[in-house]
Amino acid sequence: MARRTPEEILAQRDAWMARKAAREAGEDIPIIPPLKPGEEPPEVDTAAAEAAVETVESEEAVSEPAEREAAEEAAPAPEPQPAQPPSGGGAPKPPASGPRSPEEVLAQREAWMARKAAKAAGVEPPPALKPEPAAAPKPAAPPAAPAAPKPRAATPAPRKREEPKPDAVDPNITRRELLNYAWLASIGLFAAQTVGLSLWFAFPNFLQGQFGGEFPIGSASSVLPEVNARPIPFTDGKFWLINLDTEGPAGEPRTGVLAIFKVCTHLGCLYEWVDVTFRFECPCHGSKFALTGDYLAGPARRSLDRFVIKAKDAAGNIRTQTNENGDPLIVEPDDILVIDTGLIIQGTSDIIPA
Amino acid sequence: MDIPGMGFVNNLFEKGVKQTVSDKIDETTRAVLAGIGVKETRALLRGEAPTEKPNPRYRAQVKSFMLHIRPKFYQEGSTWFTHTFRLGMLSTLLFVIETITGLILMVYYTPAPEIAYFDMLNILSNVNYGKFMRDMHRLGAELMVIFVTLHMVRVYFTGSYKHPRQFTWLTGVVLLLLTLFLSFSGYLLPWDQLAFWAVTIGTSMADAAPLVGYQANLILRGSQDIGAGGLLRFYLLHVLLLPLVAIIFISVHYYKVAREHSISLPAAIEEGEAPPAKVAAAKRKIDILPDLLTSELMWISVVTTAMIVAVSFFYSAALEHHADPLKTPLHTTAPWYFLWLQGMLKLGDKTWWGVIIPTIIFLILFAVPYIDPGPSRLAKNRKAGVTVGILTSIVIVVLSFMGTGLWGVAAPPAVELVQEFIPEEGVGLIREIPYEEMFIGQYHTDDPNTWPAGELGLVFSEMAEAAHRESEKADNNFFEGKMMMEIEQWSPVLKRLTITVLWEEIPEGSTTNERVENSYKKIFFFHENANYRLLE
Repeated sequence: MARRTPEEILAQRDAWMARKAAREAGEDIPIIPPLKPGEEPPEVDTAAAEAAVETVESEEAVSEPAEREAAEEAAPAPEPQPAQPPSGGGAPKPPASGPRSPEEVLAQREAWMARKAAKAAGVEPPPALKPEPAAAPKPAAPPAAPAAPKPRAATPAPRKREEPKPDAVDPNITRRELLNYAWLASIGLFAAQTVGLSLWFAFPNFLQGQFGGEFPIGSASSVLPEVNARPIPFTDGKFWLINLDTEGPAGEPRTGVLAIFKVCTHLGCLYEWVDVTFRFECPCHGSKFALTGDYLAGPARRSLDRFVIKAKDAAGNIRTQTNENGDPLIVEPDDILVIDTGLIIQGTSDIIPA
Repeated sequence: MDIPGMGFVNNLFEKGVKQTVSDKIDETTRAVLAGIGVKETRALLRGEAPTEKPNPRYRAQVKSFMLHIRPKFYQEGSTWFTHTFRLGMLSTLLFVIETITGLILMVYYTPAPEIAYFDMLNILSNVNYGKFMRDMHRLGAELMVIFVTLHMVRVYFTGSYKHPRQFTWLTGVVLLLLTLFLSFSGYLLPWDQLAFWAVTIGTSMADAAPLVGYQANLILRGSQDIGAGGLLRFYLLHVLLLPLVAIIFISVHYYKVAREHSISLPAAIEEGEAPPAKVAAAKRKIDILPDLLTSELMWISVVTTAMIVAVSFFYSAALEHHADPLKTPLHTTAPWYFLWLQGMLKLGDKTWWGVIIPTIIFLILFAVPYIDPGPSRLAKNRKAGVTVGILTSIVIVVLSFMGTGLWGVAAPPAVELVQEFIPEEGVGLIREIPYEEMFIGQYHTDDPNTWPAGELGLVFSEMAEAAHRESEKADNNFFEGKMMMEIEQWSPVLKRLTITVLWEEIPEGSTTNERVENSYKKIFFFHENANYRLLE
């Protein structure tokens, strides 16, 4: 069926209601069967339909006030009640052209204003379903509302347009809905994976021999400095290699190997080893550190940072490595030492005087 | 005093917690989804009618930036798969995929000749998912060229370039050119032999252009030879200028499709050659939300998954040796979408075949809507156009074959035989054999007793077959071909492979047909730790 214009819809409706009314009144009018798919509706004789409607509605206009009061009490309205009273819903067709009493005019006007106010309040009253309590006082509630559920055999139910039904979404989940959720979830998962993958991609990997990676420096017997002697610098790895057998500032033992980061813990300069005073001194702001890496003086707020040393055996397995406090590591002479510049342990700030 | 949040707190007391929270969620949903609330979203996902007036789905298309460029609805006939094959949408999807993977790869790439190749090695071996991203980018580029071309072919054969879509066709041909140039400019960036020489050939064609060739060549390359300047210029083209222009043209192209003349319906429908029921079905309107959006999401998922599977199991982008301006490898070839051009170049003068004829071809492409102005799109009313289209496709395919190394540039048979099994660039059958299975010894193709075992033996039997095949050919002056392979332990971690080809030939200028023996020898080294399978 092609789309009908509003005028066509109304004309067909009125024609149908006229036929219904005529049938009630006793005339023998055959029932027109519903259209089959692809069939066009027959031409509606609009003039005849309108005339029939006017007759019907003039009858109805007379009986309206009575009908409304009756409807208020939910009493059965007088038969026959052919046509949908205009106040009951969204029928845009104006009421019959026959003379109406002033009370009717007022009643209709008030009903119309009530509908208008209801619309302005944002609620579209489905015709004849709900009386509108929050709107302006409506002396006549839509009469068809309480009347419609009544089994009035000859009365057509008020014809509704396709009104939106805000509460009509079925709480039961449909297959389409479930599948849509599943697909959206999987797309969301994929998006999350893409973000994660991009981050993982962007995270740098450092090669061996590159600062940030591991530096295998050789076997302990060949590469370590003398015990308590001056430290050995490693430029690419940015660390000093120190061999200790002495005590810390509080008397605790410091025995083993340390790999101390060359960057000063104050503001990032590279400090120097000064033979004359046998300690580390930073040229930028004068921070001073002992051979053990402990803070001695200056604006730095913690002792020197150190790297994790991994002592590996000949097969490449890690035999032992620097503990989480960064204490010097005791190694065997044939251990292979690997300094991991990706793992840094910060110096303590305990010994800084207040 | 208006304290922010007091409205929320007041509502908590007035309406209760549950109501307030659900109202807030609905409000937030509407803010994010351009006016579509929770209930309406559910109705969307269920495929039901709108729950509000006015239709919030249409309103969303007006209020939302992301949705505003979509048409309100499609006609069902234009969504039939066999009409468009979704090629236009897939081309745009691939452009987006290329942009994303390209941006990601930019994290690890520097466009300087000293660094670029090593950045590629870094991406392939040291970066998490680096090989994956690179392969996705390369596969996406090749697919994009394919889809853009197929899209153009589809539009041509359905006659959808006719009024009122002429300007859209024009922007489409521009987009085809942009796609080809994007692919070509990206080709240089790995800075390997393949990249370097392919782009040398391409820019030399620019040099061959009449009048402006010399200047065009210099502007593209930044100097006489491709070097640091050329690499940087190609990088900027590939990453900035061409994508910007492409985005502008894609926007114009799609805006006209979405807003002005929509996707065409099949010609039979539009011109009344189809039964009315089919016409009615074709003209039915399908809203963007939710049906077309879910269809597009499906296609995005399918294509992305297919690419990921392909890259994970089947596809690998090659990386040849470091670019060497002093040596052009055998079988240097243009990328496959330019093979037709390389085929034409083998026919004659480079200015004529390399510049003028391709320009004429593209001018004809631009002018197609005006060469064929008849209003009917049906194939039966465009017999000449359809015939020309089919013939052109065949010619392009033939030219592409001519552009490969198989035609016209063959080296002597002996060199080709060795190249077949250990190519100068690429892996080849012999390099795939694991180091442990390269057994020391001497092997002759005409004495099966000497043939080795295992994978090496299989490859060697193929070499015997290839030599036999070459000998059987009538016109290559190559008779009684034999191959010999010797593997020696050259150092504790190194094996040396010598391949010798022995054959008989008739010397040039000889009056008698007497054959003379000849041989060709090439030496290769194999390291214990080499892993050729990574780059195959």
